[in-house]
Amino acid sequence: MTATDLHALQPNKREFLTFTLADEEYALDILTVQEIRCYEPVTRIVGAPPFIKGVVNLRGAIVPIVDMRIKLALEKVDYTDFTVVIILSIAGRLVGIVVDSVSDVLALTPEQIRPAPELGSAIDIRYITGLATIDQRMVIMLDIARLMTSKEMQLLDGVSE
Amino acid sequence: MTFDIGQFVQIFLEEAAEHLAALESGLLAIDLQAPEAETLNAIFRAAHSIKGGAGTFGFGEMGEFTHTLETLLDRVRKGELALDEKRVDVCLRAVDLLRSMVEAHRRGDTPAMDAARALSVEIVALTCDSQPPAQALPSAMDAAARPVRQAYEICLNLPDTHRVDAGTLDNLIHTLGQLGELTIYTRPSETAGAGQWRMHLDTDVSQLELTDFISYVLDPAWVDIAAQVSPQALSSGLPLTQEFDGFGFFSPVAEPTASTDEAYGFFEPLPETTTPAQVESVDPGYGFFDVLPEAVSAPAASATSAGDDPGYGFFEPLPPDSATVEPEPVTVATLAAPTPAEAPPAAAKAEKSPPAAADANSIRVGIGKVDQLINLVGELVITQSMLLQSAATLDPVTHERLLGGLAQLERNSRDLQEAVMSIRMVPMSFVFSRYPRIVRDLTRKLGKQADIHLIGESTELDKGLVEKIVDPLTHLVRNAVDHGLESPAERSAAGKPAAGQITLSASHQSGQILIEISDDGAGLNRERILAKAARQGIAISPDAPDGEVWDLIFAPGFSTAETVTDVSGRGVGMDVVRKNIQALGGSVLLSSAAGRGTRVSIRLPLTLAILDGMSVRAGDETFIVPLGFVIESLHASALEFRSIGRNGKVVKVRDDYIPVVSLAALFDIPGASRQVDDAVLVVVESENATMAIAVDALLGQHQVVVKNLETNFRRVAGISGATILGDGQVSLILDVAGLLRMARPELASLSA
Repeated sequence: MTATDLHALQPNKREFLTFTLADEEYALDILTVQEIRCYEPVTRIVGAPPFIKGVVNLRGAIVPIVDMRIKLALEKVDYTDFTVVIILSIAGRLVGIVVDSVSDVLALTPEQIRPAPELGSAIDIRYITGLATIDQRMVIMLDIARLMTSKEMQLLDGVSE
Repeated sequence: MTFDIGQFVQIFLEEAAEHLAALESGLLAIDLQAPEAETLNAIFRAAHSIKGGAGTFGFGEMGEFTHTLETLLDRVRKGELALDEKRVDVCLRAVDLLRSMVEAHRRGDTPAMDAARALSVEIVALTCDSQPPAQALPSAMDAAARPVRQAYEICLNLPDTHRVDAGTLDNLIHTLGQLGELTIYTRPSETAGAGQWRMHLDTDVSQLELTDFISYVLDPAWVDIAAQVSPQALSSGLPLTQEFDGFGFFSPVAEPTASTDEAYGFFEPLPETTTPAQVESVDPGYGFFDVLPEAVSAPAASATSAGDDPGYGFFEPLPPDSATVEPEPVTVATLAAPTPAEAPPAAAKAEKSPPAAADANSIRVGIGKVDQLINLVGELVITQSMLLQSAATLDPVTHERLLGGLAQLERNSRDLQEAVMSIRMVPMSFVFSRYPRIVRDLTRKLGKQADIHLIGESTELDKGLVEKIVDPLTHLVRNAVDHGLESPAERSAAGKPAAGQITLSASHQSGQILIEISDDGAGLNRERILAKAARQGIAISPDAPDGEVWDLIFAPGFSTAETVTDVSGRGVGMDVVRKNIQALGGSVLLSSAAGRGTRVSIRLPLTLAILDGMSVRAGDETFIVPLGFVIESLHASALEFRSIGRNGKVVKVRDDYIPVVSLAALFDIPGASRQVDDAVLVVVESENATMAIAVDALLGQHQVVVKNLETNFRRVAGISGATILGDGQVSLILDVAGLLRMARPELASLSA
């Protein structure tokens, strides 16, 4: 979904879904989100990296589940009744990401998003489009489509090796 | 209202492809000695539909090209031209060309027109080259159609703004030369350049045809053709253009001279007598004929032929203009009578109704929608089995109605699943229909003769499989023609009919489809295969059974053809054929008898969407082993194991030692035992390799719906796909062939 499409709907504002990973709050374009589900047991995939938990059955579709907490090497990784999976639809493919919790939907104008400084966030600066401050909280804006199709996520053929 | 023509264009292109297929199969099916009227009509209709659609969607060049083809086919179907080998050839080439045009449009390209121009010159030449089949014409028509020689002055004014391709021009001049005696008076100094050509042509082709022909290649505005009165024509007293029926484009307008002069008058060069407006009024818009003031020479022709011309239903019968038209009395009678004028469109409609009715019984649905349906039904079946499991604990007496309803639901959902799966099935004719053409082309090229027989075309097969089976089958058919069949001379020497027989058959056998390609050629040459094997260093005993010898053909790089042709014989092939078919879960078997022929039998599962699987457990994980690869399952406790090397193990099953691989070790399953000694062994085979997979337990056999992992993820080594189990969990399907290949380096080192 491009910025121009949204522009037509709402002149300035874009909506973002925010979620938390450990102490950091992240936001992703809400138009990439298909649904939010509870974590369910997965089927492990042979030879996949540890952060790819496996695949689940999403109404007949086989969907891979990525645990962002493992990917970002967070210390506390547990699966409770409140562990949440965000199912994303990116480039016609479905992928689920496991996060600690989903917090909010934000409508932001471009002016509210400032460029990200070179700081030590857990996610590579390449996948961060900027920072936003909401009620004294700092939210890291993610380029989720780019992250999920990147080589390091190993979700696509041809980029895994 | 906005109107997206794009989607209709796609539909047109799809339909055009279907019409082309019909055209091709019709041309191939036709018996040249006694063509059936119905087939000829079907061929013509197919060409006509393409032309109509092409015009509607603005593919002018395609429409024009098809028009020339249609003209030829129309004359054939009316019996004015004999359909001979040459014409069938040209038509088939035209089909190929149209197919490439359709492809180009599908990609959004503009097709290259050079080839079309060259081919249409040939088509028109064959159209004009009138040799009416004697038996097809009523004698009266025959007399009328007697070719009459006529002289024309042709003047081509080529402007320097539009350069004409030298080849096209040469081709045109050459073809004109073939039509009759051509004398060129003046030609431009530059070969392909601008300037004026003046020539004289003495031919028995009608003026309209001539104009049609030339203006196909050149802009009609540059062409000027004038007919001269030929003494022969005068003395014959026959309207010389009568053989040409005018296609109903020209109503008998104008030509007042015709009434006074009878037949002769319209040979006089009288361009002034007809106003261009009149010509335009009857021109349906092809634009070919609008520079033809002389075209009035055709009225009498169209007048006489209008009675048997159906007009194709899209030209409105023009009311005869009595003020201007007063042709011969006989003709007037035909034209003025309202019935014949109105009957043609009706007749054309009736002619078209059978295919329309057939279309109405089927709908075109995207495969994505069908797959979605299959998914949803799969989900339904899972939900239903979950309900059944929960209900198992209920007391059957108090919950009798509920349990009865659940049993009913189970039956219904199973029926529904079967019905939905059958949507994906298509008849084998989708595959088989292309082979008559391939065999025809190949036999031409190789100087052989062959008849092809198709059996079991209505046998149904999964759409996904159909697409994948085409290449291997094509290869086998080519092989049968190239290597299998002998030359006609060799065949006669062996006492066989000169034409070889190639048979393609398909049938259902115990849940599989059996496809056989057989020829009645010389059969495989055992000695030659053994000699070749020896040269390639393949170890085989000279006394090996036939089956083992034939199996060598499937070895990579093995070809028994004595000469490498461009058809086949480079030795890349049979191994690929076998590999492709095995990848589809099928098998290939070859049998041959010296002097009697060769038969290749292919067995395939009916569908790729469902497979029979054995579910096995290793640790806490469940996997599906495709049943087609499973030979047997054994309990390890009673068997004898041997260690080879550091990690390798083999098990003695009867007299064979089979390598053993623990699934837990292979897939690194946490918490699963890697010991094979008390495991269950599943013995699997693929590509002549065998191995035993050690698992903790066998859970059962079921039909599973195969899902592609790559839809949302990527390929995983050792896994061919996934499925959803009765409890909603995902289970992975083992890629047995892949596992064997993965294990082979180890196995090779074991046996070394």
